[in-house]
Amino acid sequence: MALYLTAVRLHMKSLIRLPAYWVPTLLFPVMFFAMFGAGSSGPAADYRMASFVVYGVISIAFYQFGVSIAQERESHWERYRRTLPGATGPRMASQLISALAFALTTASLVIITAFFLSTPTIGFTSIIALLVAALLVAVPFTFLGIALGYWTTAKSAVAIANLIYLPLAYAGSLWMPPDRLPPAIAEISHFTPTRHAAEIVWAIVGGRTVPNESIAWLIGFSLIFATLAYFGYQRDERQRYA
Amino acid sequence: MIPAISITGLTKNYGKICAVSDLNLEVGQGDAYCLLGPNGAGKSTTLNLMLGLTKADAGSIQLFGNSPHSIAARNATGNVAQDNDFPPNLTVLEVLELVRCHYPSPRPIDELIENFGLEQLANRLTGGFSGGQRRRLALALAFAGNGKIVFLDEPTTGLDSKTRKRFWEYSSQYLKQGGTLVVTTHHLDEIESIASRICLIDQGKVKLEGSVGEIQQRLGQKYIQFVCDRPPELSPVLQSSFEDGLCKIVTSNGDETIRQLVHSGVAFSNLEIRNASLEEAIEKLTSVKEKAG
Repeated sequence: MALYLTAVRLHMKSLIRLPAYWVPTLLFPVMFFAMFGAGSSGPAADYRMASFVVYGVISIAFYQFGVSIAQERESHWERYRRTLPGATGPRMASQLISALAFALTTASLVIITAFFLSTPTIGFTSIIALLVAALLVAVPFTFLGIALGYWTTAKSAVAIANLIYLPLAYAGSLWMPPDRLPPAIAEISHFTPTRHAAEIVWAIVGGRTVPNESIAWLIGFSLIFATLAYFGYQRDERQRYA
Repeated sequence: MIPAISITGLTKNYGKICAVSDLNLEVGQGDAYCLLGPNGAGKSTTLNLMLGLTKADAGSIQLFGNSPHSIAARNATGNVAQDNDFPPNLTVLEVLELVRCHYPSPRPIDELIENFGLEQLANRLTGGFSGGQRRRLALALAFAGNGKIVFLDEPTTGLDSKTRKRFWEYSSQYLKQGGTLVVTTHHLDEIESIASRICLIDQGKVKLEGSVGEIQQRLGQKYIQFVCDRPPELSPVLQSSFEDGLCKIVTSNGDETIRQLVHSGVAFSNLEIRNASLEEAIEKLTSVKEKAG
């Protein structure tokens, strides 16, 4: 137990000492909300808030796993760490728990900002439901991040992550409502995992039933991304530790 | 007493290249076991297999009777690799803490900081460290777990002479306390004072194995030197030189050479006779092998 606590604490510390990581991931969602979501009121404000919460939580899941795996797997430290007794569990726990902590922080920052810059109507229970849903819809993106980490290099990971996630966030309607998307993009939107993540949290803050279709899509994407991640992991194991 | 390491029939292929082929060796508890061999001989592969970083194609490795992948074996071992880096945003103290917390009874932090010259670096982030600084921390980590076996791959690369000396002192302390060392190195002169056994590996096979004394004796060469006015006529010797009144001779039969020297009538003084150094012995053996090959 002490081992897990130390590993998690030190991993958090090293992330906090890296503003290049946490400034964009924690503050961009808030900044984007201020730019695109401020001033709305009523249900529209709830939807905007939910969209940017999901945008922030997914970006943590995707970037943190993707970029850290890409960097660590090339390092001598990773090789050394494998020789320590019982190193796998604490290592995975420190990744997961710090991602969770950062995700909840960025979500909270968006929610607080939303209450300052717009007039949402949702209550406390809906906010909790929104947070839980945001973490769940981030699961496929965690797998996508892991796949990215294994299929890119330390140098290219951030650039490729941006190339994947920014268009997905835009086309998935996380930055603006679907009716404001250009028609061509609105067509594509229904095939993106981000759009289905958004549909789920919109249903929650709108008090509607969560659409089964979107859940099915996200499960499908999870399977595809997990498979990609698995093959990437296998490839890396073969190359380095066969 | 159960051996610290026992390897039988170990084989490891990379595609068509055979890195290690039917390797057998045994490292006793308390040994300072030195693995030698040219680059690409299979030393690193053997080391990786002993550390459980790769899996063998055939054969077995046991560390105190356990598989290298087992927790028991990992608890009992520490290691330093040839290249080192650390989480760049952690300090030396934090990296030490992270590694120590994996082991049941780690060495005290103060002892490690002091013996590896880390006092000035303790609170610095490891990100900007020089090669020598990284090396010192990596060596401290190898001993941090208080393991019964420590694997050292080229341990003194990049260290200044003072740190080098301190490190070998620490290593011999560790041996005196019952620890076992497995060292690969190119600096034979350094290892000579602490090595107990030598294993020469080439092309994935053991070419030569034995205690330091055995290997020196196997060559049977003696180094003789003395001061004289003119060099005596001696036969047969392997090598001789005369410069500024100092005569140096290498011979395969020391006793016979000395007898001849005494009977030659040449006045000599300050006579010294010694065995070939480990480096000379290994050089000799490998060059014989190369000629034969």
